[in-house]
Amino acid sequence: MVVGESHEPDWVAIERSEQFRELQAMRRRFVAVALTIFTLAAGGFFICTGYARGFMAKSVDGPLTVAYTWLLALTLLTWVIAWGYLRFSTRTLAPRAEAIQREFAAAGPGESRDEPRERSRLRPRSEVPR
Amino acid sequence: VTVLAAAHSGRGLSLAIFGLILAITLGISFWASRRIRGASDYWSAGREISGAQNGMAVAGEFLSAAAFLGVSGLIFLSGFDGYLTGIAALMSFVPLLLLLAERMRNAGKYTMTDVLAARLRESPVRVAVAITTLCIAAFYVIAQSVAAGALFEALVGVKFWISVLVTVAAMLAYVVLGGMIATTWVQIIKACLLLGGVATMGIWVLAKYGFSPIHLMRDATAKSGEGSAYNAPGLLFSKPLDEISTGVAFTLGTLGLPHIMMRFLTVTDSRAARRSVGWAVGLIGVFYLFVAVIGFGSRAILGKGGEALAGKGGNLAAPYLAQHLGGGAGTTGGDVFFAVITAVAFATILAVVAGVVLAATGSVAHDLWGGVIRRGKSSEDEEVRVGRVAVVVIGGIGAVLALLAGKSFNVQLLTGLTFAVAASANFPALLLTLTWRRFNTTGAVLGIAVGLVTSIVLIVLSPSVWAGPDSHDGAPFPLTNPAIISIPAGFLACIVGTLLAPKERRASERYEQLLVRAETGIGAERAAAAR
Repeated sequence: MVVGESHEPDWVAIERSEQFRELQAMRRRFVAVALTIFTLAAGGFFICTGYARGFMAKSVDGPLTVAYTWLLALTLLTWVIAWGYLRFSTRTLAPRAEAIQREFAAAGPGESRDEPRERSRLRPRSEVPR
Repeated sequence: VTVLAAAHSGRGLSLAIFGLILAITLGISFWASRRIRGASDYWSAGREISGAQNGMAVAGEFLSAAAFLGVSGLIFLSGFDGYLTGIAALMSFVPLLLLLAERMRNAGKYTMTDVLAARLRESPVRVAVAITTLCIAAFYVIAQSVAAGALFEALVGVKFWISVLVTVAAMLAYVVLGGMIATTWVQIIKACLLLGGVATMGIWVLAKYGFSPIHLMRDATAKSGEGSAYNAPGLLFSKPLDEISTGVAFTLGTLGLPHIMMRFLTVTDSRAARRSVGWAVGLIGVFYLFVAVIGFGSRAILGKGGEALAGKGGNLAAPYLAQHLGGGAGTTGGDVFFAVITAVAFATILAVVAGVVLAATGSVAHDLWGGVIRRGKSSEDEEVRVGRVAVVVIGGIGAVLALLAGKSFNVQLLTGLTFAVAASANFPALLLTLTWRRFNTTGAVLGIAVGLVTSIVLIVLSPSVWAGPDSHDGAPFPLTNPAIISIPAGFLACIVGTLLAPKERRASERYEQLLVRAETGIGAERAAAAR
């Protein structure tokens, strides 16, 4: 079910709007920071596994080497970034995206369901799915 | 021979437990087949899957036999390098979440190609991605079938071709009857079984070592005979670039795997897409911690003697560890635990093959048939019919390929090749479509073609294929995994192709639309209930 032609929102207008630019900038900032940290941590790790094997083989605690410690830290980093992004996206980005939807998207077949449940109860009955 | 005879004592039980799993999953397929009323139900489960359910399913899709048998086997054989392949795959969720997950959900429909087709010329892009999807599916089916064949031939004594036929027949039933709904539930059940299995084994092993991972690792290191090299990079990948290349392939491969990307199209909204990634990351991270314990445990407990049992690729270390934990070969406890773990591993293979084939089928029916051959004039029900025929054809081809495949490869390393193909062919085009206004059809098609051809040619020229897995002769290409060359090649071709071709009006006009849709979810397809 594609957006019906008659309800086609004005994409360019949305893209140029203040709100959309702000939403995009916020997301890009978060992604840039998180991706940089991740790339340094993971890229540094991979390079060291290849070219700093003596360092990676150093013992931290018995059989627990630098290599293992770094790998465990990357597991933790993956969890932290995932948790952080999900939190940021849900609390900061989603409300803004919903505001843009409310302002610009034509109601009707093209409307997305990406709204919190409380709000869907407030919609007129005819618009509530099924 | 005595080893195999001992293994066969659990055969009847393995088959019975496996039969039970098969019966339950087939039952789900029949239940799902009655709920399918249209194309959206078939391809994206009516977009009714919740975040937690989808997270389990993503984890299920992701945790193949390679992740369980392959990674634990590699840790058993070569310690640190084995664990690296597992965690590199887990790390792929960071770029996946930051760059693609929600946007895929918002802008896609049934397959990942829909995102590309939203602003590029449909026919060439759909053909290109459909070809890579089929290649990836073929590689994946080979890898999983190698696991199935090795598992069943060695452990349960069933001939290789029979286990392949059973795998393919069950997979056909799931996909033909139940589409995405059945495949999702099969994934969820399998994820629960697999997580339960590895958790039980992991805790059991740790209990033997007073819940001290350091004790366990110390014992494993001693038994490995490799000394401190067992806990450092280099045992499996002697060439530095090989280690880096394999790591990069696993870290970026997920972003081009059609069956994983397709998972984000089944959820109710972008919130559910995010939540499912959260669930998947948590579950998969915990899974790999247990798999590490199982890998060390099999080395520490089975010792050097375990190498004969585990096979050349190490794929069977985990089931034999289970047998040992249960009391050893010939004891009831040993037989039961062995049977359970074998059956879980087989359920895993079935589920992953079903997911991959469903994605390939979607590509044939929706992209090739609907988008190119019928140029959008086919009805959606027609696409579902074509899809069901395509499943049977793809399943048949998969069975033939599986019967031709070798068995001495480690399944995780075979999967690494699939990831390399996916990361080189699909990921550059997908990322640039969503981020680069100037990007056009020529760039996408050239990038996909170069990524696909480079990665496959380099795999063919690599030591393990060109000279054979046992040979130490030189090969034209020195690395076993091509990702470090083929991913940049894919990106470069995308950029060169784009700049060489004249500006494409539709591609840049539609950029705003795709950007807005991906970012806000405006115009995203609603849940089936709203149709």
